[in-house]
Amino acid sequence: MKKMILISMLSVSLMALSSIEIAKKSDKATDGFESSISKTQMTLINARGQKSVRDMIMKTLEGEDGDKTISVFLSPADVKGTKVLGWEHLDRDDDQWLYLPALKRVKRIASRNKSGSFMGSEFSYEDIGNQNYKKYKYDDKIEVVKLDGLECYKGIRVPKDRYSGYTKQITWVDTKDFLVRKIEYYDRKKELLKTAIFSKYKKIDGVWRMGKIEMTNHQSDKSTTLVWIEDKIKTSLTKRDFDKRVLKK
Amino acid sequence: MIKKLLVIGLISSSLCAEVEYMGNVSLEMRSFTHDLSNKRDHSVALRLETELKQEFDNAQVVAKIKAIYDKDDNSRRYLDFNDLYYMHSFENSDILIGRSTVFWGALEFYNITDVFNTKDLLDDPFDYNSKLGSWNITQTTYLEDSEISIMVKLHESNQKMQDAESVNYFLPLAYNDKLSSEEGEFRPTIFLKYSGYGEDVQIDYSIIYQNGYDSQRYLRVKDNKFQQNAYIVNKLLGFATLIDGDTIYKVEATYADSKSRQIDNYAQLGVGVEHTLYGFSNQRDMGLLVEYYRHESDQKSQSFFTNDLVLGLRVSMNDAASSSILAGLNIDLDNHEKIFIVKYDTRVYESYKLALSYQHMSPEEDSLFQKLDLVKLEFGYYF
Repeated sequence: MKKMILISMLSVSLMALSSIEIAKKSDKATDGFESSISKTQMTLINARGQKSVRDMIMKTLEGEDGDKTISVFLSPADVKGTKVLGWEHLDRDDDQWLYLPALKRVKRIASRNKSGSFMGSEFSYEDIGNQNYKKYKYDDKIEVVKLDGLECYKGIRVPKDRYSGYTKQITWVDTKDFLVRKIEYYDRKKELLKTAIFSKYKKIDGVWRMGKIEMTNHQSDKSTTLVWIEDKIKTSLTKRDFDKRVLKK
Repeated sequence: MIKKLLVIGLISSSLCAEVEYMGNVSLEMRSFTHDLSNKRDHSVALRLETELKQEFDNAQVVAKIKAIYDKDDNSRRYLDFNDLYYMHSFENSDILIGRSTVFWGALEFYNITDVFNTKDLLDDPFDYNSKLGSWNITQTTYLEDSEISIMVKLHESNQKMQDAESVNYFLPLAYNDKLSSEEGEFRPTIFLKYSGYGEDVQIDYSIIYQNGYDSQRYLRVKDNKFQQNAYIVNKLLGFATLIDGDTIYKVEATYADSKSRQIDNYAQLGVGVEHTLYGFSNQRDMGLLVEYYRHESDQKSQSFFTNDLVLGLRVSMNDAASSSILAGLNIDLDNHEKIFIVKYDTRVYESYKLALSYQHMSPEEDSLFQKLDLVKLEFGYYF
């Protein structure tokens, strides 16, 4: 009987958190890295199982108004040296510039499109961008469910951005560490488009960092795996490292 | 000989030190359909383009090599360093010394403000991005939301052309590639450039003042050969890009105050709009482009883009091979001369690229150019 009471109390305690509180805690678990330098590898797998690999270095600076990022492509060889600089804004369209090394050209590019494919992968630009909790509206209904043996909060969030490619996302957030473990993405026709599985988290300097994302597109049978090969946080990067001037160097 | 020694030196040092490198080796095949006598109907060339970069604490040395070996055109067998410079970075400024290429402009098909480097006509007169490096000293100061550059171009380059049997040699007489200039080839040309961007509005802009040799040159017959002549201008240039949602607005403009008795003052304007339909078919994006170019002068100009409309279409497949199609139709609104070009390129097996293009020119009677159809295939290995 005591055991029953204990389980029941635990459920109450879990359920007591609102969806917005879970989202805030989830954000907080991965926030505080200040700045990061990561080497990542993206593997694109088509419906026939053929693989295509992209390597890049991503530098990020955490900011109040949104993060600043610069991505430098290392492979495939024909895009080596291509850079994308992004300044995220929570209240307006992001600033984005593309540097094409063959032409030595810096181009300001449109950023409103969030649903477009990132480098031909199953990730869209909004998937790889900052997942700040303020970008979503949350359904009040929260379930506690098991996901591969982990107890998770299962909830629904809806992107506030009217240019988002998604009508809703179903999220699985670990009840213990508040890390996102899985997201299902629903397209503009409200049909299941993709599923992302987040794994290989590790704690660096007290901040949880993602190690791997497997994104599967249910409509095209293609998938993409994004793996962090190296990851450093609280680096000496400053605002100056994200100026337009760095694109041409 | 000096160039060969430089290449050997650079390759040796790149093997010894941590030199970053990238580039490609490609085979370029062209087939022409034309009614011209004594002109080749095909060309085959091997190309190498590579960039070597050595970084130090606050500095970098960059060398960019372009080498072309054309099977038939002896003049199109050359090796050049279009970038060979040392750049030192300070807290809020950089200084560059050496030979370099830069890009200025906003429009897609032709950039009237991209005047720092001389175009490489020997490579491809219709590839406006093919340039000769310019010897220069450049100092750039970075401010909060802007930058100011002082650029001193130290030398005016000769502009070589393909041989007389090439369809890209369109002059009615022989050509002497030695440049004639008003004040000598080493008279410096000075550029003062200010660039900035908007805080709340998505705009980038640049304003440039130029004193020295104009990028345009005029042809004069001397000893029964055409020869290029460089003349002095005071020139104002500007270009800007503004983004509103999925639409990009572009503008480029120049005004040249000519110091030559041969060339009148002139003004150029280019405006363009590009609207992208994202995900128009599955993951594919389609860009629709319209650009208009105007050249105003009391003298008649026989160049392109004097009163021209360009309609363009770009399709990005957003696939693993990064395939894309670019098509453009250039219409001269004065004489209805037309150039149509369509290009497809894709990646093959990660390290290879394939590009296939078709170009059709239908000139009018008073044009320098001839009716021509061109199919070009490029297959390259990237490293």
